[in-house]
Order: sequence, then structure tokens, then C-alpha cells
Amino acid sequence: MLDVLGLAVTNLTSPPILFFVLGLGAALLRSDLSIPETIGKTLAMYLMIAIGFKGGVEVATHGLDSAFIATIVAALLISFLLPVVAFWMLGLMSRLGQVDRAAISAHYGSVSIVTFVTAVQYLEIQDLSYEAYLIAIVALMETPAIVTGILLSRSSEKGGKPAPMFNAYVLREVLLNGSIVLLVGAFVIGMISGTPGKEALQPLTGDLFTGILCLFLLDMGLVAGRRLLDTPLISPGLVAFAIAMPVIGASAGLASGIIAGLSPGGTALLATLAASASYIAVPAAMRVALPQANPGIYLTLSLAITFPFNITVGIPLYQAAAQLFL
Amino acid sequence: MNDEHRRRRIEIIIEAPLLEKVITEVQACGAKGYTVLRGHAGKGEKGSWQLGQISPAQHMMIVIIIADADITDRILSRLAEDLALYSGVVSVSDVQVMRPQRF
Repeated sequence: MLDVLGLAVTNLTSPPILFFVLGLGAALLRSDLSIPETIGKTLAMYLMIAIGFKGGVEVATHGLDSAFIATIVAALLISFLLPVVAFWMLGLMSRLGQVDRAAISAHYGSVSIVTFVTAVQYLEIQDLSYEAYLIAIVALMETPAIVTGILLSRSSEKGGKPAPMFNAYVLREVLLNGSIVLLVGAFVIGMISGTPGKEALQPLTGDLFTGILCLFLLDMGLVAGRRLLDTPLISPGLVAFAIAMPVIGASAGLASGIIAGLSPGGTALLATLAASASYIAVPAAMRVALPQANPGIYLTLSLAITFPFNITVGIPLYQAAAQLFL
Repeated sequence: MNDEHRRRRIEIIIEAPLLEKVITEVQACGAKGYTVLRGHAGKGEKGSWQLGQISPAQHMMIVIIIADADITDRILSRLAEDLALYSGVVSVSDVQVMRPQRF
């Protein structure tokens, strides 16, 4: 019998999550604790390098398996289609206009790499294996939702007038944003350098990983807490959406992982990706593509509600579900 | 300084994600140079913002251009069209410059 509660406690008492809670609490109590912006960015770069490299080395050692292509297809379908579900749900659960709904939907189809990294760390604490190529697949899941979001904003006559000249530019920005370039680049470096490379970088990408993740999540806690403090009034329906949507996304990821033939660990990771919502790349893209949408709403939902939900309760829940079905 | 030294100074406060696009447009209009500054914090029609958010979505950048009247008009009419829906401020002032041949 699976001990879901035990899994949740394992997660909630792990140092990274506790540091996140510390940051969140400090921000909510208006402490002057802050991590300088450039250091925050450096920590994020470190995480991209460490996780990308690790994935590349694993793929070099173990190769790809039969589930690889099916997983790519599933990841793309999830990323293109989840915004449609989100858009429809927002229609039921809020009174927002079409453009705001479309902009929020794009966030929920896209992914949060930090949520993913936290899930990887969580699996590793438990010695649960997963398909390492999922790390490269993350890169494919950032952009499609933006396309769907923009299309949804135009889906009826009443839709806001788009800013046409900027759209090709937006896609390039997102596809080639620094995190993705670093993640994919480190993945390729890991594949080329293989096990000897892993040994050479072990002190940096291996031993330091959990510690740096703690620092980074402390910063994320501060950022999410500050976001909550300057939040515009968010209706209860929207709060419910920001918690229900990741669960729906995770169910889609779970089903896809099972159909594609992933391991329980891999299925849990795909579910986590589908559950996560972007709060870096997509907001920037939405400011350009859908300027009429209110950034206060989409940033609060994805960063201040969905992200904390996923890393505290979501990840253990998705893993338990994956193990229950597989 | 005399008339020969008169130029216009355009100041564009714009959301960070639009910066590159705006700079491309400004140069296409014939401006010979520009300067970009980072905004620190501010408040406007759509609420307040400050540097240090995790997404660059709400950071504001300031672009300063010195140009002659013709180029200024071209820049303003181009931006009026492109920036209609976006947050930000565009203002123009008359200035006198040293070494006018540079602008």
C-alpha cells in the first residue's frame, strides 16, 4: 500500500522545500531578506547546467528507449492542447475577458523548469529512476502553448486586436531564451562527454546540486511571497483555478506517460511538467503578444499559487499516482 | 550655442520585452545612435512595477535618442502605430547639443 502521506512528509521536510517556505514566510512578514538579482540569475543558470548535463550523461550511458518518440509526441500534444482546457475552465470559473483568459491559458500549457528540477531532486532522494531524456523534452514544452494562447485570444470577433508585427519575434525570443539554450547546451555537452565528463564535473554538478537548489528555492520563496503581497484582487474562482488546473494537467501527463510506456519516475516527471505553469518566459512573451492582458493576474496565478502548490503538495501527489497506476 | 546646435531628445520608457524591437525601429528611422538605461521602479496607469521581478515581463527600460526634426517625426509616427497597446511613455524635448554633426 502506498503511503501518500509519508511521501508528502518526505517532500515537505526536505531542505529545498523548507528553504522555499522560509523565503515565502520572510517575504510575507516583510523581512528585508533578499538575494541580489544577479546572484538569483546565476543560481538559475547553475540549475540549468547541472540538470542538463546530468540528463545528457544519462542518455549517453543508457541510450534512448522505445518510449522516446511517443513521449515527444505526448509532450507536444499536452503543450498545445492544455491551454484550450485552461481557457474553457477560466470561462466557467471567472469573469475574465477573452484576452486575459487566453494569456493565462498560455502560462498553464507551458512549463516551469524549476518545478521540474525540484521533482527530479525529489525522485533522487527516493532513489527512483526516470528517463533522463525527459530533461531535453522540457525544452520542447515551453513554446507551443504560446501559439495556442495567441490563437485563443483571436478565436472570436470580440477578441482583442493582436499586435501582429511582434509575434514572430516573440516566438524566437522564447525558443532561444537563455535558460533553454543553457539547458539544451549542457545536455549536449553531457552527451558528448559521457561518464568521464560526469566524473570531472561531479563536485559542481553533482555534490553541490541540492545545496544550490536550496538557495534558489529560498529566492523563489521570496519572489513568490512578494508577488502575493502586491497582488491585485484575485477572485476565489481564480484561486481555485490555479489549484485545479495543475491537477488536470498532471492527469493528462500521467495518462500520457502510461500510454507512452514511461517508468513510474518518468511518468511522475511528465505529470509534473504538465502540471507546472511558466512564470518567466511566457509572461514576457505575453506582454509583447497580448499587451491588453493584465500581468498582475497571470503572474500571481502561476508564480504565487500554482508554483508553491506544485512543489509542496503536487509533486508527491503526482508521484504517488504514477506509482499507483504503474 | 546657435540654431545649428538644436536637436530633439526623444525619451522612450518601454517594457523590457519590447526593447530590441524598438531599437531596431528607431535605427530604421535613421537615428545614428541611442542610449538604453534600466528603470528602477515606477508607477503608471496600470499600477506600480520595480526591478528584480523574476520575469523580465514587468521591467521597464528607457531609450534616449538625440536626432534632428525629420528623424524625430519619423520615429514618433512609427512608434505611435507600434506601441498603441503597450504600457510606457514617449516624450520629446528640444535640446541643444555639443558637436551637432554627431546627431
